[in-house]
Amino acid sequence: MKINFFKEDSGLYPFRWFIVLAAVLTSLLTYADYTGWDIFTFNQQQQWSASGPGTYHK
Amino acid sequence: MMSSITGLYQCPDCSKPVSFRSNETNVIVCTCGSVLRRKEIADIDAIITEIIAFSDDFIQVGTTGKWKNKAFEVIGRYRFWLDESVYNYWTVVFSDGTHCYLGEGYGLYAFFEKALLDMTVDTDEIKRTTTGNDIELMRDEYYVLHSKDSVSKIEVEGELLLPELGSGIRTYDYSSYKGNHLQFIEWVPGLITAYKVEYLKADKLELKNVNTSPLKGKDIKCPGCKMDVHIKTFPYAQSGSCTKCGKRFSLRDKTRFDAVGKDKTNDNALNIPIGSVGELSGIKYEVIGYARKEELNEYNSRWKEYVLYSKKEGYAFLAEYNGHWIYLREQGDVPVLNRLPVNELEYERESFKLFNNYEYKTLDTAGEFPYDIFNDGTVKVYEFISPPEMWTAERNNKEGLIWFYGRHISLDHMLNQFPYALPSCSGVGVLEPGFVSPGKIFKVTFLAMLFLLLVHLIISAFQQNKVLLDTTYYMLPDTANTITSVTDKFKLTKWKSNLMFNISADVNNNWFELSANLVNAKTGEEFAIEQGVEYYSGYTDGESWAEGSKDETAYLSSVPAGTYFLQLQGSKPSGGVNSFSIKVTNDTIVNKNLYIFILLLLIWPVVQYIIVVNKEKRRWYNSPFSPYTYED
Repeated sequence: MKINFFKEDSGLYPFRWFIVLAAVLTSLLTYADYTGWDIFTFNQQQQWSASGPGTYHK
Repeated sequence: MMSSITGLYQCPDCSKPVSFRSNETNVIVCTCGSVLRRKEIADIDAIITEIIAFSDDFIQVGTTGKWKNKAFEVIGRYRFWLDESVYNYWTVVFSDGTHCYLGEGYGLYAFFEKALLDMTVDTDEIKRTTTGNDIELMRDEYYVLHSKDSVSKIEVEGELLLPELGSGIRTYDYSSYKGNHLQFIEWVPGLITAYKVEYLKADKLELKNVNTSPLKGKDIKCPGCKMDVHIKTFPYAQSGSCTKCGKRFSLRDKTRFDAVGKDKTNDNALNIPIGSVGELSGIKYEVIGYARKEELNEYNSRWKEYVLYSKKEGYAFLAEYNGHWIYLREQGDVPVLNRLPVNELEYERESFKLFNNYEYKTLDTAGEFPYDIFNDGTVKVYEFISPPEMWTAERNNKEGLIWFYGRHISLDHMLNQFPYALPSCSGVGVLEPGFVSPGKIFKVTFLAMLFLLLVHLIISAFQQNKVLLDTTYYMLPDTANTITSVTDKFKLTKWKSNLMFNISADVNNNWFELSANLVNAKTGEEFAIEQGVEYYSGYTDGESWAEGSKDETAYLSSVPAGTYFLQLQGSKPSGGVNSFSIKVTNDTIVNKNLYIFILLLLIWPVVQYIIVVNKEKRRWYNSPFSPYTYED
């Protein structure tokens, strides 16, 4: 079986975009698991910085 | 007579010295044109056989190459003229002095080594077996007879080993289910030699000193209009037709092309003109022939077929139907079956399904063909598909079974290589890509899910799972409905990590809410969450019900490293719970992430499955073996 699945004569050619999708999702999962990113909490968690929103002052 | 120890002899016809390079060869062609054979070590005589007339092949005497890491040199050949083909057996001498034959013709290259069978086989059985049947030729290894052929002429060139020179030589080609091949040559009645055949691609041979000049071919007069016709690939071409008057001709007695009728519809509707050059699968081909054929069945499908030729790679075919193109080549390593048709065959772990079987007639022709194209109705064709690939078997009573491997060629690629007015595509092509077997979709999806799970488990194995807080807070009854607490400072050491809050409160038909504020002791940066705990139950209309939970989990995610403390505030309604427990753990795995990524991963296979089933139904519409049912 040809390794380069973007070549038409590879047996994995029909799965080329699925393999790309799986690679992207695996990378995201790795990042999420490693950094403790809970992708459900984006609207639950609030965050403030002590320096405020960064308004202009003299 | 000169000494034979050195391999030197004297030609009995011209008296010139002739020398043999190899101790194992026995025939040599003298410069005077005599073909000489050394019978015994000290004897040589002239024999009557022909010298090769058309010798301008890709391989020539002096060609060198490599096989199994051994260098070899071509020193001569004999050529068999078979029923509908010619085939060369080049004598090659290896660097270690051993020799064998390099078979070559029509783009099929194979090494022939003398074989010893490891069991006694009745030679009559080898000869008696009919094509498509199997016999045991090696211990526990059955071989199917693919073809039988008879040799009507032998031509020789250079120095070679020719076991015998009799009339009525016959060949028998067998292939085993394990993929091994044997050829038996019956030189004279009772003398059969077995050869182990190993097919290989020309590129693997690293051939040098080859003849790249075009074949000289043969000039004939059209038997109809007397126009000059040049048969470019003679002697390999076995039939042809006049592009002007449509007169058909086939090779007879190995020497002349006799008229065999005329095209009924000589419209020569070629989309690619004869003489065009284009590259397919990395091989530069010239179009040398064209035929329009029709299936002899209820469908009467018509298609166009172009014959391609490359001096090194031999012949190939381009079939066009409804604007879909298939590129086909004859193969040596092929599926081995002891009966045809079968519904399905497996080759190199790939399943090919029977799509069609038919006989055909040839409506229109132009140019030349490497076989007798005009024996209409005598060839049975079986097509097995696994888009974008296919195996096509052609069974001919004269030649036996020939297998072709085919691949889909996109219209874009065709237009790129053959920039002519090619027909546009309609419908779904027999080999049009896009087919992925549902089983394969399931397999690949399962593997991808397994991979995601594995990554998730590996990372979870290295999580710290450090408990920062595990305590119970008590709230005095009838006092304030809120309680606040501030924890000691703690350090989060990982670049980024999460905090998991497990909150338990013994709520019953009321609620409790926890606000957690994580404060960076140095920068003042804050991360906050709120999580309610609610549990309600009751009995309505004869049924008990419950909703909510007394335990909840919340996360603060992607918190940077630093020194932090927690500000906690618990709230409850009047008469609510008197205590709650909280456990805070740093750097834990979040399984929900895995579930959502698996769901995202499943979108593609589900959509693909729906598309595949729909497309396959349309692809198989024209097949008598369609597994689908249709409304019309």
